[in-house]
Amino acid sequence: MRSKLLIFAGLLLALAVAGCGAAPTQMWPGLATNDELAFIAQGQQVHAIRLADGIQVWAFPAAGSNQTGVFAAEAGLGPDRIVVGSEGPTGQYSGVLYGLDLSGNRQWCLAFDQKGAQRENCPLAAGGAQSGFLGLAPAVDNRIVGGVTVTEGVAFVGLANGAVYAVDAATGRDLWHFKAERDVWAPPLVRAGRVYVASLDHHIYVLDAGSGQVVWSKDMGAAVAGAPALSSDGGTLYVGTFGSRLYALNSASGEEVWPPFTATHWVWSGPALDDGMLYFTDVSGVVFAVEAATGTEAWRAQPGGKMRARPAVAGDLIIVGDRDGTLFALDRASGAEVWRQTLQGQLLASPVVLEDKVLVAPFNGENLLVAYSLAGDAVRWAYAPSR
Amino acid sequence: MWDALILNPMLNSLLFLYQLLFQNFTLTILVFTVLIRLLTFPLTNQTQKSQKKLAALQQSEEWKKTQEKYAKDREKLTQEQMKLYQRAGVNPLGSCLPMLIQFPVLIGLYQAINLAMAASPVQLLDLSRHIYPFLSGASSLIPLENRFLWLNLGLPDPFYVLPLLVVATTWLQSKLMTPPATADSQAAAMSQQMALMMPLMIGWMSLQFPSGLSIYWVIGNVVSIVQQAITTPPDWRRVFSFRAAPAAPAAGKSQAEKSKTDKAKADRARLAAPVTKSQGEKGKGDKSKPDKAGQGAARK
Repeated sequence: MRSKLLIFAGLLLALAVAGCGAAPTQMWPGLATNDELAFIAQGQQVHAIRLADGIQVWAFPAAGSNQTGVFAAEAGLGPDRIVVGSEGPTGQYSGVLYGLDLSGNRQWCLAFDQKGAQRENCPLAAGGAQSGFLGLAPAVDNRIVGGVTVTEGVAFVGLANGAVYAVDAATGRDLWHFKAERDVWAPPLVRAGRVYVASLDHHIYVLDAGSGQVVWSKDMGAAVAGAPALSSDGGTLYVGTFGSRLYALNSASGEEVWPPFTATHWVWSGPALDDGMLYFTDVSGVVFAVEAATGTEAWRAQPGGKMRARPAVAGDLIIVGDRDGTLFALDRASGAEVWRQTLQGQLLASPVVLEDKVLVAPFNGENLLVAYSLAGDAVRWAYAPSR
Repeated sequence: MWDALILNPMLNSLLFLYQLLFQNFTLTILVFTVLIRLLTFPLTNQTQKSQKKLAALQQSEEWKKTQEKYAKDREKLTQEQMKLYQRAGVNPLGSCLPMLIQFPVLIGLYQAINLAMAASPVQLLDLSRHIYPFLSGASSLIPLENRFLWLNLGLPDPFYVLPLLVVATTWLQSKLMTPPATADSQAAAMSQQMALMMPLMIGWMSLQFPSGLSIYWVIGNVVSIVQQAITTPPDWRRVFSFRAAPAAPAAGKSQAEKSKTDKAKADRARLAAPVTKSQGEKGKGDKSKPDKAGQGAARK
C-alpha cells in the first residue's frame, strides 16, 4: 500500500513537472493584408486568404510539417515578394526567413543557424555560424516571432535573440545585421531611411536603414514588446512599455516630447494614431485615447477582459479585441461601447479594418480568420484551415 | 485558488529575490530552492523519521515471525501487521502524507520558475497576470536575465550536461530516500524499479526543458541529498550497490532456503511440462528452448 502510494505520488509529480516544462512555444497569429489577400501565419503554414470571400488561395508550405516549423510572425509584403519568417520546429529555436512570389512559391530562404541551414538547405546569414563554449554552437534563440517589414525592396526582421537583419527581398542576400541585447518581438518600423526597433532589453534603437548603424538609442526603463508608431510628419515616435507608460519621443534625437503617460498596466502594443489622437490598450484591458500633441487623456474605457492588441480605427469607431474572444466597437469620441461580438479564441492579434469589414484572427479558436461587417451585425465569412 | 494560494506568492517572492540578488536568476533559483526546502524541512524530517521507524519495524524478529505465521492468510496477516504498527507507534502512511503535502509546494515552485522565465509572448502575457501590483519595480525586471555560463536559461542545454546532472542527482536522491529492503519483496522490487525509472524519465524530460528548470531540479536534488545525509547518515555501500537489495525472507525462510525451494519448484514444473497439451505443442514448436516452457509452467 505504502509503496504503491509512493509510486503514484512520484508519477504524479513527474506528470505535473512534464506538464509545466514542456509547454509549447506558442504565439498568436500574425495578420497582414494587401488589396486582395490576407496573409495569416499560424501553426505550420502561412495562409493566403481572398478578402472578397474568405477562400484560401494558397498556403506555404503547401503541406505543413513540423520539419519546416511554426509560423506566427506577420508577413512582410512587397510589390512582388512576400517575406515570411518561421520559429523553426518546436523546441529547436531555429527560425528561417523565406521569400515567396505572389503565388506562394518559395524563391529563397535564409537561415540564422546551422540547424536551419541544413534543415531547409538555405544559406547561412552573417553572424549565424556562432561558436561558444569549447567552440561548440551555443544555445541561441533564433526564432522569428515579431514579423517582417518590407520597404523599398528590403526586408527587415528581428529575431528572438535580439538580432535585426536587413535582407534583399528579391534575392534573400543579407545586407547588414545589428544586435540588441534581448528579444525583438515586433516588426521593425521603417520610415524615411530609419529603422525603429523595439527590444525587450528595454531599449528603442533607431538604425540607419542603409547601413544598420545606430543613429540613437534610448533606455525606456522597461521592456518594449510592440512596434512603435510614428506621427504622420515623422517627427514624433510613440512607444509603449512594460513600465505601464506611453512615451512620445523626438524621432531625431530621442528626447521626450511630453512627460510619459501612465497607464494601469503594461502597454504591450504601440498606439494607433489617427487625426491627432493616440488609441492604445494595456494588458489589464483598459483602452485609452490620448492627444498626440500633448499627452492629455481624452477618455479611457474598460469594455471587457485583458487586452494586448493595438486598436484599429474605422471612421467613428475604435475596434479592439480582448483575450476572452470579444470584439468591441467603441465610440471614437467618448469610448462608449457601440457593439460587441463574441467569438471562440483569444483576440491577441491586432484587428485590421478594410473598407466595410473588420478582420480578426482568433488565437486557439475555431476559425483562423473571421470577417465581420463594420456595423457589427454579421459575419461576412470565416476561414478555418480544414475548409 | 491554486494561483492565489501557491503560484502567485511563489512567483512574486521569486521576483523580489531576483531584485535583491543582483538580478542573477540562477542565484535566485538556488536561494529560493534552499529557502523552500528549509521551510518544508519539518515535513521532510517527519517523512524520513517515519520511514526509518517503519523500516526498523519491518526488519524486526517479531515482524518476521508474524509474516511466517500468517503466510497463508493474508487477511489475518494484515490485521496482525496493523497491531504491530499500533504497538510500535508507527503509521504506515506516515511517510507518505507529509510528502503529499509537499507536492503542491514543489509543483508551485516549479511552475513559478517556468512562468518567470517566459520564453514566448503568450507566456509573458500570462506572467503579467500574476505579478502583484504593489511589487514596485517588478515590471522593469522583465524579462529576467537568461544567461548563465554557456546556458540560455530559457532553452535546453545544448551540451546535455544538465540532463546528465539531473539523472545523476535524481538517482542519488531516490536511492537515499528509498528505505532499506523490507520483508515485502514485491515492494522492494518496485522501489528499486522506481529508483531507476524516475531519474531516466526526468532526465529524458529535461532534454526538452528550459535549462533554468533543469538547474532548479538539480539544486533541489542536491539540497535533498544534503538534508538526508545530515539527518540520516546513509549507508553509502548500499546506495552505490547496483545489485538488488536482498529482501528479507517472505515467510521466515532464509534466502538460501528460499532459493532451494524455488529451484525445486522449477524442477518439478519442468518435469511436468510436456504433460499438458499446450505446453507439449510449445515444446514441439520450440525444441531449442525446452527450459522456457518449464519456467512458464513453474510460474503458473
